[in-house]
Formats: sequence, structure tokens, C-alpha cells
Amino acid sequence: MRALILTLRILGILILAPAAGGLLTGLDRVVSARMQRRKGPPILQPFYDVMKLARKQSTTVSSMTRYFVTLSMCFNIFTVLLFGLGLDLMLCVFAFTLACVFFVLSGYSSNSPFSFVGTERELVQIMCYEPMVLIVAFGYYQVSGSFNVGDAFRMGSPAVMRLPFIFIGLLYVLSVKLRKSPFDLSMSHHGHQEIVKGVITELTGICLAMVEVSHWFETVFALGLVYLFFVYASPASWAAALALCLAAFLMETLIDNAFARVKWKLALQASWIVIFVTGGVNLLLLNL
Amino acid sequence: MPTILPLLGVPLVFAVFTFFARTQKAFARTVRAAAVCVAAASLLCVAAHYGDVYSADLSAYPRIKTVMLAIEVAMSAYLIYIGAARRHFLLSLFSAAQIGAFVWFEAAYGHSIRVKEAVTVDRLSLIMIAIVGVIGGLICVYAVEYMKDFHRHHPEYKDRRPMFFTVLMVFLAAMFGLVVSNDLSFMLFFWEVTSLCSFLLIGYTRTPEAEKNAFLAVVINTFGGLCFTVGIVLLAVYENILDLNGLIRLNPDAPIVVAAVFLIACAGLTKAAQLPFSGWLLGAMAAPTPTSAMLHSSTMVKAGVYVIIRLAPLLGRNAAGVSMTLVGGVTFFATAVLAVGQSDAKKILAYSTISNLGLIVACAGINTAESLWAAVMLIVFHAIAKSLLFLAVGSTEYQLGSRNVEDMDGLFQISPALTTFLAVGIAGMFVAPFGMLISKWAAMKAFVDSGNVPVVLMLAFGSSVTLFFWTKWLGKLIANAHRTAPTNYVMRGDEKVSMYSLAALVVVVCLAHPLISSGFIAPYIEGAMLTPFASPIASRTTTVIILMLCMLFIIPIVLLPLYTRRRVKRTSVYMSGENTGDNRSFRGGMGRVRPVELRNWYMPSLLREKRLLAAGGGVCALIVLGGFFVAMGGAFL
Amino acid sequence: MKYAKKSPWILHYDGSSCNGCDIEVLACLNPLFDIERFGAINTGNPKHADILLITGAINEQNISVVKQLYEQMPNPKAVVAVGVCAATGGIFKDCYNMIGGVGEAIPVDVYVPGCASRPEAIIDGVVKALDKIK
Repeated sequence: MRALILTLRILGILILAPAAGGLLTGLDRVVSARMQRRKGPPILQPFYDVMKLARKQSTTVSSMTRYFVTLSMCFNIFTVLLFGLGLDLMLCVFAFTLACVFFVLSGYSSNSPFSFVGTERELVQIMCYEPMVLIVAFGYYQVSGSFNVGDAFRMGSPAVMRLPFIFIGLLYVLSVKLRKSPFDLSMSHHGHQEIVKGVITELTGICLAMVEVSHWFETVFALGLVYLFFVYASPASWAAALALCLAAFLMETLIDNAFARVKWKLALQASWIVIFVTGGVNLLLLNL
Repeated sequence: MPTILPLLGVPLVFAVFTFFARTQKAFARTVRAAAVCVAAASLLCVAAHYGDVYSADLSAYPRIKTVMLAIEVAMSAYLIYIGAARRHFLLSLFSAAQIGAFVWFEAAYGHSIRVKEAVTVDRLSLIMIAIVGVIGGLICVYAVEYMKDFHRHHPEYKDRRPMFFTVLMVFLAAMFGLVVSNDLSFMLFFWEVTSLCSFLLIGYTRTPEAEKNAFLAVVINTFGGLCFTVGIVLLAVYENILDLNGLIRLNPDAPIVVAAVFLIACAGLTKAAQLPFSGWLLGAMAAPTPTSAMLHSSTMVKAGVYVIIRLAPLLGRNAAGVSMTLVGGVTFFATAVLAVGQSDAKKILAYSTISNLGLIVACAGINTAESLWAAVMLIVFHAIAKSLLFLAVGSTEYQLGSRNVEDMDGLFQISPALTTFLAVGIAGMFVAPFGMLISKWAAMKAFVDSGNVPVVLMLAFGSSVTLFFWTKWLGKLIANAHRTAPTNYVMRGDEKVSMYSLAALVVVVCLAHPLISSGFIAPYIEGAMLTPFASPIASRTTTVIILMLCMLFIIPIVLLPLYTRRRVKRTSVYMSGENTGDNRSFRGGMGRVRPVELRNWYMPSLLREKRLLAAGGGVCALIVLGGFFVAMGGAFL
Repeated sequence: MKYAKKSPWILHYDGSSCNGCDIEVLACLNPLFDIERFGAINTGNPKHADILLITGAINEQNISVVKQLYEQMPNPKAVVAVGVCAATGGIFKDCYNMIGGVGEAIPVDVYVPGCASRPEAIIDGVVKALDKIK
């Protein structure tokens, strides 16, 4: 019986997470278009894109790229599974990092100038947000008493009450992680072009589709971290937190449309300063 | 005793054999035999003493101490002489002060203190014995062929291999001695032996650079030895104690204990190459690769952190503990940042070694059960992965004629095996399911639990920097550049054996870490802390980690037939339509064909090595000085 | 490939031209014409593109570039030649370095007339090309 429930939960996550991620990406494109007074694509556009890519011919410049892309997607899915099953948050972070490392390696393996530059920038971006993700996990651990994601539903008050600064820091690095302008240095989304397409320049067909799907999972995980800040024992908070996640995502869309791209040095320095101040102040307050 | 004695005896016997060996064949035979025997002796010792804490009383043999004292005086005389002869007067000064203090102490107090258990072998000693025996043995095996090639590549250096292998063997013996000693004067003796051995090994080539580095190493380590001696003298004179087991039961807040512990821990800092003292480790990179592998992965530096871990029950919230924690934390972060700016593979390894040792020191410094667990785990995993990396870099240097990371982008096509070794080693150092990350996680948890915010922040930032420099190296390894092999180097059997074994160990030990934890580390911590202890990594989490490890292997294996069967069309790399067709060049402006060169980022505008090193060293020196004044002031004012 | 029709990704290349058609292509992206309504994206990358949209003529310098870009596009793919220059070489036809229309380098699926072509015509051409990549 327990095995059955576990299987059902895993199946549910495997269906719901990409559906939510894809819809959010579609929503992002529509809202962006409306902000620019355009009509924009249908909201299901990301799914059309992925279906098209999956059926297109695959070409490659290196035999290894496919393995890395597949591994990256697998570990992204694994991350969301761990998170959805309420397991250890640090494990999620590590699995997520592993997925990012594989993604970066796929860029390296092509040995192409454009993806190479994108890959280096992607690494810098990982360096920008990684400390914050760790600090989020530390803060959550101090507030809830355990790293288990599931324990968030048993807390007396939402984590954001005691982690307000860490939450601000997380919102900041969310644009770095989701590669939204001003931090879309390594690769850019839909219509935008930066160093051609950055890391994914050489990917075609099914590989590119896998990257898109991984990005859906990434988005879900990133918003899952936001979710953790608002959820607590009260069932009303479970739905309210979802709405707040959506609000956070739309805020990212707004930022994406309102800012110009920055240089990597500024991105790195700015993120580290923000993380140092928000994370440091909040952790100090917790330990007073 | 029958299992402990061979640990010292076997390497010493083989040291004599190698000293008289002259031909390559003789070296190969003796060193192989020595490695097998040393590894066997160490594993035998682990098996024999797994069940209990073994102690031996040596007070019936007062001659041992006399012999040790005589050897120590001889070593010091040599150092004083060579320091004076080569105008390194600091060395003479430190050495003279150290031996003077020690001889005076032995004469005045030595006989009045009776150490009941001069030798103690507990679980921590067993872990160290296994590391030194197995990994040290593998490095020796590797050295056989490597040194032969070394002299073929560098005919300008005098072939002093008999001395080299002899010193390696003595080094192993000294390490074994160090980790089984409970009597602090024994420990100091072996400590001094490792310092002298490292001096001889680093100065092997006798070039001016090697001599300079050798003297730097020995000056710093003799300074550490001096601190160690003064610490011991303080303990003996004021507390009437000369053994570790007695020491760690003292009151950690007693001023005199804090002062003594601080001094001994400072000695640990010098050997573990923590920041104000890390110059010697960076210089030691000029030595032949087996030396670097031996000193920086499994032996020398591990002796430093071993001593600090032994003292951990007396650290914590006192001046000694706080300064160790901070020095470790700052070193961890600063040297990780420094590693980003390096393209010399050995230098990256050196900085990453210092960085990881910093983490271990910081863990020992806060002295909680969890942090000690993390520290010991870090020692185990670091020793394996780092020695593999050093050995692989040594072979890569022969293969490519360079050890610059930027030249490794075609390594996969030239030598898939070496690439795999390097990749496994690098993955073992920082990626998720592998050991280093598990231990780092426990360390992070321990620091968060202890509420040490500055160190938590340094850990968070330092980890992301670590990810950066390892990943960009890994990326270069798998980059698909077209190169032809510049040298006709072929890996020999010995080298393959040691690297395959170490690569296997990286994975196996990671899978077996719950067993190491419950079988060795937990009992040790329970013994040291006198509290029941459970692994900080929950069993459910361990399952997930092992699942991840399986995924790493299974996914590619499943994909392999799938992806090889469904062939994909190869296209040229996108270069704005100007690719000349072979992915190696493009048509540039004015119709000229230009080569494509891809270089990693080293951020020279942000990271200036000298300035950073000075800043980190300065901060750490201030912390150490501050700790020193507080500890000494508390004890004597 | 019914999804291909819903997500045409375009690579735009400008050969020898006066840049008039070029600017009209960009006009397709603006709020008035908004080609993204059809899911189209201006990718700037042959590896991701389904449709190669070429304005301007082919000359001795760019013929190899056009061929390589076409070569690097994964199948199924279509080529749209926009404007008179792309069709025949246009007013540049008799220049010393000129080869002619896009057809001289790669197979063209749709020709969009005009000098310069109007955005509506370009969008129409793209939609027509979608029939070719079924």
C-alpha cells in the first residue's frame, strides 16, 4: 500500500511538474508580449516547441554532448522528485547542482566558441546563486529544525517571518537562476539572443527539447524554494503560497522586461554583496 | 605489539634494501614488495585491532626514549649545521631552540612523568593507518616507473633514487609511528622525522628553486616543531601530563591547558599548511609528483590535521578553538578563491588541498560530535581523491608535455584512461554523490548547529567557488578539441595499477561510507566525547545518495547502446557560417584563416594571486597572533 | 509534423542588399505585426532554425556562408527568399562580384516578391514555407 502511494505520488510529480513548468514558461512569454503591447504566442507554445524539437532531426558536434544533456535532465527531474516527496532539502540542492554541472559540461563538450563563452558565463552564474541556495537551506534548517522539506507543513508560522532577508536574497538570485535579464548572460530565452544562444548554441532536436524540459523542472524547483517560505501548518497557507509563487514568477517577468543585461563582473559582485548582506544579517539575527 | 611493530619495521627494513638498490629492476622489485607488505601490515593491524582500543606500556624499555632522543639530537644537529652552512639562520635558530628546550625538559622532568600507555591504537589511528598504508603504498608503486621517466625527461638532475625511495619508506614509518603514539614526546619525535623527510624529498633535484622550497618547508615545519615542544613542556611542567589520552581529559577552560593546546594546534597549522604557513606547500609543488602526492594527500599534511583532531575535545569555545575555527574558515575560503586564478594543474591541487585542510581544521576547531565526524570523513575522502589526482596529473604531464589545464582539452582523444582518472578524481572532490560532498554537508550542518555565522558564510561562498574551479577543469578535460599526442609516452603497468586502484577506491569508499562511519568514526567519537553518537547523515539520506551514485553509472550505461545505435548526423560547429570545415579554424577578416582557441576564465582583473595571498595570510596571522596573546595572557598574566 | 507548423523558428540572413528588406523583416517582430503570434522566433542560430529567411543577393563572399548555414540546419527545413535581390540579384545583378539570387546557392522553397517586401508578405511567405516542412 505504501509502495502504491509512493508510486502514485512520483507519477503525480512527474506529470504535474513539467505541466506547471511549461505553462509558466508559456505564461512568461504571453505576459512579456503583453508588456510590450504585443499579442504574443499561445500559452501552450512551449509544449508545441518541445514537441516539434523532439521530432526534428538531431545533429551533433560531439558524441558526448547527448549524454551530458540527458544526465542533466535526469538529475533535474530527480531534484524535483526529492523536493516533491518532502525529502532532505540539502540533497535537493546537491542534486540540483549536479544537474547544473552536467549542463555546463554539455556546453564544454561541444568545444564551440559561442557555447564555450556561454558555458563560462553559466559557471559564473552558478557561482552567483549557489551561496544563496545553500543559505536558504541553512536558514530553513534553523527555522524548521530539520532539512526535511515535508516538515514545512508542520511549522507554526511561515518561514518568511523569521527569514525575511534571506527571502529577499532568494528573490534576487531567482533572476540569476532563471536566466532573466539583467542576468541572462549565459543563454537567453525565446526571442532574445546573447552570444547566439550561449550554452545551447550547438544543440538540436531532442537534445534541445530535453534542455527545455529541464528548464521547466528548474523553474518548478526554484519556485518550490519560494513556496517553502510561505507554507506552514495552516492548510489555507498551502494555496496562498502557490499564489505567492506565481506572483514571484510574474515579478521576474517584469524585471526581465525592465532591465538591460549587465556584465558578468557586475552580476557576480552584485549578487555576492546582496547574498552576503541579506544572508549574513538574517543568520546573525537567527543566532542572536 | 606484534601488529604494531611491523608498521614501523617493514618500511624501515625496505628502506635499507632500497638504499642499496642500484638498478631499475631492483627498485621495482623492492618498492613493489615494500608497498604490498606495508599495505598488508596496515590492513592486518586494522583487522587485529578493530574490536578494541589497543594500548601498550613501554615504560619497561627506557632505552627507547634514549635512542629517540639521540636521533632527535642528531637530526637537529644536521638541521642547525645545514641552516648555518646555507645561510638559513632562522632554521638553525628554530632547530636549536627546539632541541635545547627538549633536551632540557628530558633532563629535568622527563623521568618524573610516567606515561602508562605510550602507544594507543584506537579507531582514528586505524583509519589513519589504513590511509597511510594503502594510499602511501600505491603512491610508492607509482613512483617506481615515474622516477625512471623523470630522470629520462630531466637528464640534468643527478639520479638519487636510492635516497628518494629510502626517504619515502622512512616517511611511511614515521607516519605510522605518529598515529599510534600516545606519548607526546614520541609523537614529537615522529613529527620531527616527517619534517626532515619532507625537506629531503622537496629538495630532491637540488636545483636552486628546489633548495629554496625545501628550506622554506623545513623552516616553517621546524617552527611548528618548536611550538609543539613548548606546548609539551608547558603541559608536563604545569599539569604533569605527557600523554594524549590524559591530555584530552583535562579541563578545556584551564588557562595553562588552553595555552599548551594552542601551541600544539599551531604546530598542526604549520604542517597542515594553513594560511600564514601555507607557503611551503605551494613551493613543494616543484618536487617530483610522487612527493607531492605523498606529502599533500595522505601523509604530511594529514599529520597536521590529525594532531588538531586529536586535540579537538580541548578546543571549542576557548581561545585555541576559536582561533583554529577562524583560521580554518578563512583558509578554506581564501585558497578556494585563489585556486580559481590558477591554470597550473598542480597549483590548483595545492590550493584545493590547503582549502580542504582548512575545512578540516575549522571542523576540529568547533569541537562538536558532528563536526568531528565530518573532519575524519574529509580526511578519508580527500586522501583518496587527491592522491588519484596528483598521480594522474603527473602522468598527464608526461603525456602532454605540460600540466597546464588549458592544454588538457584534447586529452580524451590522446588518453581516455588518464582523462577518466582525472575526471573521477575531480568528481570525487566536489560533486554530489561523492564522498567529499557528503562530508562537507555534515560540516555545514555542524557549523549551522553551532551558530557560527561567519564560518557558515565562508562555507557557502567557498563551496560555490570550489564548484567553479573544479567544473572548469572538468570541462577542459571533456572538451572535444582536436590535438595530436605531443609525446610518445605510454603508461606503465605500475602506474596503471595504482591509478586504477585509487579510482576504484573513490567509488567504493563512497559506497561504503556508512560502514566506515558506524564501524570506525562513531566509536572513536564516542570514546573521545564520552557521549553516544549517531551519524549526522540519516539512513534515508544515505539511501538517496547511493541511489544518485547508481544513477550516475546506470543512466550512461542504458543510454550507450541507445545512442550508439541511433547514429546522429555530425555537423560542423557554428562559427557564423565561417567555419573552414574542420572546427579548428575560421575565415576571419580580410579573408585570413584564423585558428580557434578557447580559454577558460581566470578572472585576473578580480583575482591577483599575490595580493589575495597576502590578504588571507594577513588575516590568518592576525587571528593566530590574537589567539596566541589571549592564550598566553590567560595562562601567565 | 503538425507541431512544426506551430513553432517556426527563423534564421535571418542578409546578403548583398540595400537593407530595406532587412528592416521589413525586423518590422515583423514589432507590436503591429507580431510574428510571435504564430510561435515564430528569430533565433539567429542555424542549429535551432526551421526556416532560413534570406534577404539580399548572393555574391562571391557570402555564398560559402549561406551554404554552410543551410548545411548546419537540421531537417526538415525550408528556405524563404525575401525581395527581388534574393530572387534574382535585383539591381545588384550586374555588379562584378555578384552571383545572383539565393537559388544559385541553395534550393529555395518560397520567393517573397517586393522591393522592399512588405511585412505582411514576409509573414505570408513564412506561413507558406510551413507547408514545405510537414
